[in-house]
Amino acid sequence: MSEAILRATGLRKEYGSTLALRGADLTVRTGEVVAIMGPSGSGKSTLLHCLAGVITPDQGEVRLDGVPLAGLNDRARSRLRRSSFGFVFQFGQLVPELPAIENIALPLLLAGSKRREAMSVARAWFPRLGLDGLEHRLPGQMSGGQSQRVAVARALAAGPRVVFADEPTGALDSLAGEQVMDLLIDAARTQGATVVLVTHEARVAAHADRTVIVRDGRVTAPVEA
Amino acid sequence: MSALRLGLRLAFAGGREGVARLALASFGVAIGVTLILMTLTAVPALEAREQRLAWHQTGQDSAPTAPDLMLWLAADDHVRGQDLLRVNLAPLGPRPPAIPGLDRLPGPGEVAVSPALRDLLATMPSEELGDRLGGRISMIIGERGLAHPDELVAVTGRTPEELRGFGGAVTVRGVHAAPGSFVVTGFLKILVIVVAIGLLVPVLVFVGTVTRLSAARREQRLAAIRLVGATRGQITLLAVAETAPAVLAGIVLGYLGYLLGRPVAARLVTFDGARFFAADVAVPAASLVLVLVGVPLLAAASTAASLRRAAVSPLGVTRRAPRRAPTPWRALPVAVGAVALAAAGLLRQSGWISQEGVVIQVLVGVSYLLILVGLVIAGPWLCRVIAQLISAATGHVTALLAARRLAADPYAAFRAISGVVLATFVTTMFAGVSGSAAQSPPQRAELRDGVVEIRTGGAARERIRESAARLADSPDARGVLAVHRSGGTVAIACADLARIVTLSCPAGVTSLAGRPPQALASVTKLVEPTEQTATWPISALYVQTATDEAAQERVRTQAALLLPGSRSATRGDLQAFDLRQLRELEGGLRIATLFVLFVAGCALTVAVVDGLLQRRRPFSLLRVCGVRLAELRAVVLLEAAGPIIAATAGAAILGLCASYLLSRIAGAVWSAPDPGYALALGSGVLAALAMIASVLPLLGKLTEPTATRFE
Repeated sequence: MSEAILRATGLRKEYGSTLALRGADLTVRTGEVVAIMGPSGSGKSTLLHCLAGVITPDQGEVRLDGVPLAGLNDRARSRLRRSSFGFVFQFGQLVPELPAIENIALPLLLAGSKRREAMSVARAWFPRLGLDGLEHRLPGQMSGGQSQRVAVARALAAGPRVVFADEPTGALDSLAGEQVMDLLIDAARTQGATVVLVTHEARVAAHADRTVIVRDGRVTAPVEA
Repeated sequence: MSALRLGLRLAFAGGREGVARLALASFGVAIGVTLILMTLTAVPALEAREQRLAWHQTGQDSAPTAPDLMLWLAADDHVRGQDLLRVNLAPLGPRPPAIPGLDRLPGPGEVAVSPALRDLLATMPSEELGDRLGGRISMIIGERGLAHPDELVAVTGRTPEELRGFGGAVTVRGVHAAPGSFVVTGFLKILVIVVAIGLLVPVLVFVGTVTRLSAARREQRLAAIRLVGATRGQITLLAVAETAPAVLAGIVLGYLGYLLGRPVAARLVTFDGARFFAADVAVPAASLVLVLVGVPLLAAASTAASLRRAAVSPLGVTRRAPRRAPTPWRALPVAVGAVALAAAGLLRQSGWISQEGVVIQVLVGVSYLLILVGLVIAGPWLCRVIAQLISAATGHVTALLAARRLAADPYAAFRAISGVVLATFVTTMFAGVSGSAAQSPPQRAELRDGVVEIRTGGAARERIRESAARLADSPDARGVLAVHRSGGTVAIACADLARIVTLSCPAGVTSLAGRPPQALASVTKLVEPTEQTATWPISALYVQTATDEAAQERVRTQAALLLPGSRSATRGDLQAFDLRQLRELEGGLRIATLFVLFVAGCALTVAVVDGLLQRRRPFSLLRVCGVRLAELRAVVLLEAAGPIIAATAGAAILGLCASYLLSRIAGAVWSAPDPGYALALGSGVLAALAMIASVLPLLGKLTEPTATRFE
């Protein structure tokens, strides 16, 4: 069994009077695909964002490779998200003025790659995405499914160690959702990336190695896939 | 009515962000309304001055204004480079015409002066100024009798016998009341109107931009309301009602800004070397109503137009009608204009066409117009080309994001800065031309330094001869020359001519081009003096003095005492007049450029805020993905600052080229604009950038990862 890349213990997070997490524990192993499921308002997205260092829990800690994220300042966490993590959201993550190819190249350019290299890496994604010939389409000129595939490519283009996907198919029909999930899981496995995805759809969770259920702010029922 | 009510409710229903948006839009409209109203005061202020100047034109043909007649002798004089009007009058009955600003006419030996002249008199020895007025100061002329607060006027009361003895006095039946036709008519009026339109257009664009603030979010909201059955008409009404509170608040604030700005503008803005009375800086009632009604209509039209481009369907904003990308053909007019101007320069240099000819004037005029109009037409295409070049070449994310956004809508990118381009081009060109005019050596007939020209103003020959002799005895005079003139023929020896004007004694000179002394203007023939020419009237005396100003003022004062109707001038007065007009035009254009830069800064700031609100989600998600806030700030700053810097620099370069060509065409030596120009332009750009930078902290708040909604 591979080692744990992410380990969350005793996470507690309050938003005003709402307790989103109340002692959540979760361990994610390297290369694993973990689905987090649960009813609306159960705290699954909050858990994902704590794992990704987007928000800091009020109590408990998240460790990446054994290093606590709480010890990193905001700048260091931004650097970590940029270099080691990839993100796929439900919608609206692409920069509307950039064509698809430049949206995919964006994390590489941000990491300091030369433009030619970044564009070459981005271009190589298109046959895999099934979007040949759409390199120069703007996000507004593509369908929701096409945009999400571009978003998946962008999340994986810089070779992240962990991909966090928050309801990646929430805004898509079932066929487009399947295509996006196939792409995400296939690309992540090829690159050896770990995937943590939040979903409320069982057919999406079915792509995962393991599914955990979050209820009332706690991880209550780990389910082996 | 329900749509109207709902719209008003929505305007206030957006929480803190909604209130901030409302405040920003109100503030923007307020600035726009203030600027529009201040711009519209230009023509009325000049017309008011024209009206105030009317009584200066009093003459024999003035319409009767009183039962009794009056003797009138007015003389345009100068002191220390400023204009001074001296009026001598003598009533010929108990009810003579009245002068504006005076309760009664000054009696014999009494002098009424303007407040500015009173102050000046206190600082100068009487032999340099006070003695010129010929009496005791007993009255101050009120505001109604002055063209502007700095005007130098003296009205001296005389007995009729005394005044008749001076020669040149006329009998008047009334004081002139109709405005003269020398200030705001013809070309100047057209110029003022063109400049006013040039200033108004960016302001109107700005008001339009402000009222469309957060249009994308509004469209989403309206789509939701369409879903529950609202018609297109109701949606339009709703959108208009939603913007109404901001617009109405902006109008009230803008009007207050105008009321506060009037005295400031009156103090700061000068025309013909003089400030304005605050009462004259006022928008006529009709224009005021037009603005106060027109701005809400403009806002409503702008809101409705933005909805028309984005078809709001019940399922969301389904399509945004794209505008055709600008094509290279747009560069044609500006290219033709530039080539025509260059061709005019070449043709002039090669001697194919003359400097004074109609051909060159038409060629220069047409090419200038083509460049101006062409810049506006070519602007969006240039924006797109530059943005595309940058996005193709850059490997830097901030430059890439900024360039792509500019290329996505070059029309919007250029709209905010079109005024800057025009104002900078025109200002730079004038700065170059006036700099060249100031630097160019005198090539034409001008008075020599130290020479005082005294036009005799209709005095009798004997009195003039006597005055010339008295002036020659003055310790300040080094020589006095009397010039005889008959019609267009002036009798003057070559050597004498060379002593008073900056000309050697060219053989065959028949007339003096350029700006000769006023008594030698419109000369058609110069002849050597003979016994016969000595019998002609003496048109002017030329007194050579030391070149110090005090000596010249003493000579002028003495001349005014000897010949009260005489008009005196020095080279400095004439040059000051020419340069003042050029400098003032340049100064006015500089103010206009700063104004336009300010408006552009406002427009870009609003566009930045709007862009931030529109792109809140992608920007927030980019931050979640690890993009640093500083990088996002750089993107936003570059998007807004890039065009304004590029446009100002490009227009300045083009303006310099045009000024160089115009100087060559005019046969002048080109010289770079003075540092004040660069300072003004640089400060304007920096102020605009500071305005844009002031909203950048908002970016951090809007894209805070912890406050981002991911679903």
